[in-house]
Amino acid sequence: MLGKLIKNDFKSTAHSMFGIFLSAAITFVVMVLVFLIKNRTLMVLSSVVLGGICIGALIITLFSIIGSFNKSLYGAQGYLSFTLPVTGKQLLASKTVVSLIWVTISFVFTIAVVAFLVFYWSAQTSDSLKQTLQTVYQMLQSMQGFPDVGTAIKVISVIVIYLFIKALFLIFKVAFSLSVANTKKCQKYNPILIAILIYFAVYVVLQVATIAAAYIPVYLAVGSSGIGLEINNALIGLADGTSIFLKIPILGYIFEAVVCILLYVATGNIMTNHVNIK
Amino acid sequence: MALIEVDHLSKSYGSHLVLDDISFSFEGGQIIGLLGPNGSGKTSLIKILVGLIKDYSGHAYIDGHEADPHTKAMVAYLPEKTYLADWMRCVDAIEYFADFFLDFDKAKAYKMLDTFQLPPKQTIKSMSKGMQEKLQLLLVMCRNAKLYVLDEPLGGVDPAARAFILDTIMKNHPEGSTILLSTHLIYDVERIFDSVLMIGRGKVLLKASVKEIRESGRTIEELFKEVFQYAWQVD
Repeated sequence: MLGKLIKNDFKSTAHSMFGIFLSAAITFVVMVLVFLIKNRTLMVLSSVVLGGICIGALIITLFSIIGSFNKSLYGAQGYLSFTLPVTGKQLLASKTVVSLIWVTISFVFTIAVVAFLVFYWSAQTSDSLKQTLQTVYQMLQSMQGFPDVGTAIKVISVIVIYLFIKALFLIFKVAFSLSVANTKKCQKYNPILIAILIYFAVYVVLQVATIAAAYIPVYLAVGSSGIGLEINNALIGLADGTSIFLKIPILGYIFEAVVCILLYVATGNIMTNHVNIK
Repeated sequence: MALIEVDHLSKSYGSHLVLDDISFSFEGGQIIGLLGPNGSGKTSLIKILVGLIKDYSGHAYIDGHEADPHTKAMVAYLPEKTYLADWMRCVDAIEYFADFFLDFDKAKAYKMLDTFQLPPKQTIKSMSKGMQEKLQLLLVMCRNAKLYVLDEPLGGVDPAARAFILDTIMKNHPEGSTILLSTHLIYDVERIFDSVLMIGRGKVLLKASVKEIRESGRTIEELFKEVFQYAWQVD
């Protein structure tokens, strides 16, 4: 049943996302055409449009996540969602997976657009794409020493996991806030207002905890000799003299992961036992 | 074992008690009229049975289970509201039901689309309220469910539509299935009921078989007026 839920949730959210990616595709084609005819005004204009679409995609993704909980669970569609032969936890898992897919798509899309715009304008000023790539390579080399491929993969993996937890955290905060707002005790007030208040309360608590954790000097460090810890400037699990390419305050990282699990369990429980569909 | 069993069930909204420690049970294979004036708690009772309301005290069982995936798989529920996503077309709604309900008869649904004159590719958003209601009725009645829970299917529609809805229900529910139909419009439906449950003031005011009622020399409508006259009395 989870697979069917994911399939149908994806179909449902794809309707709101389809337009934005179609606009991006059209703008992309226009940009290539105006590049070929060397019309600088249209190049600037289409670049601005693509940038706007990129921001729009992120905003629509956020609203799509909110809508997938608020509209399809706690709105009139909840009469169908909550009478399907599935558990509350399956409903939550499906919406989480689909939201995560859209966050990933939007994120990859944003990176792709930024990269495209960099190359688009570099290609305008440089003689060739090869020259542009060389410029980017030199920029990276001048930063902290360019990591080898293995280290680069480790750096990217840690960043991806970090962003994955951040995305999950965003989804669970939205799901938790909306679910609490639809329990009996909160339903007498404006559910959207209550959801916003709960969201920011969770956000503030987490920000305080994350900032506090940042003062504890324990970092996950990715260097040329592998992944290890850095505590009080001393490296653990890494060879002395290792060049460090990425440092993340690990306690805040772990804290967010734990809160993610807690929010998931709490939301699943609220959906199964405490939510009333109006 | 009773198909529907309610045991000391209470539900309140703030200080307003809509269901006050009610208990009753019904065997399967019959058409049950859930009767009461507006605001008597019929919809609350139904929402508890199908699992849309979770904050209540007492128990409400279907086939020995409180609302869970087992009961949801055997209950075909028709709410008062339109519960389909507005981007869906008739065909999407049919595929959706076919995905989740193993007892859904897809071939029958496509056939009924034609009978009901519903354009398969028209979106819910662009349909009239009447068309949306027809589609929901079609989806529910194309299930071979053990229990049909129909919440005010006749409310707010004209007499011709009422006849059409009743006809659809009666022709399409499988033999041996049970229908729990809530309404406050007795005249049109009293002929189809096997049993009635009248609720009001938070209590079960009457639970009887239609045979018993007829033997007392009254119609359900007369009994309804008698039981619920309090609702319109002026002190």
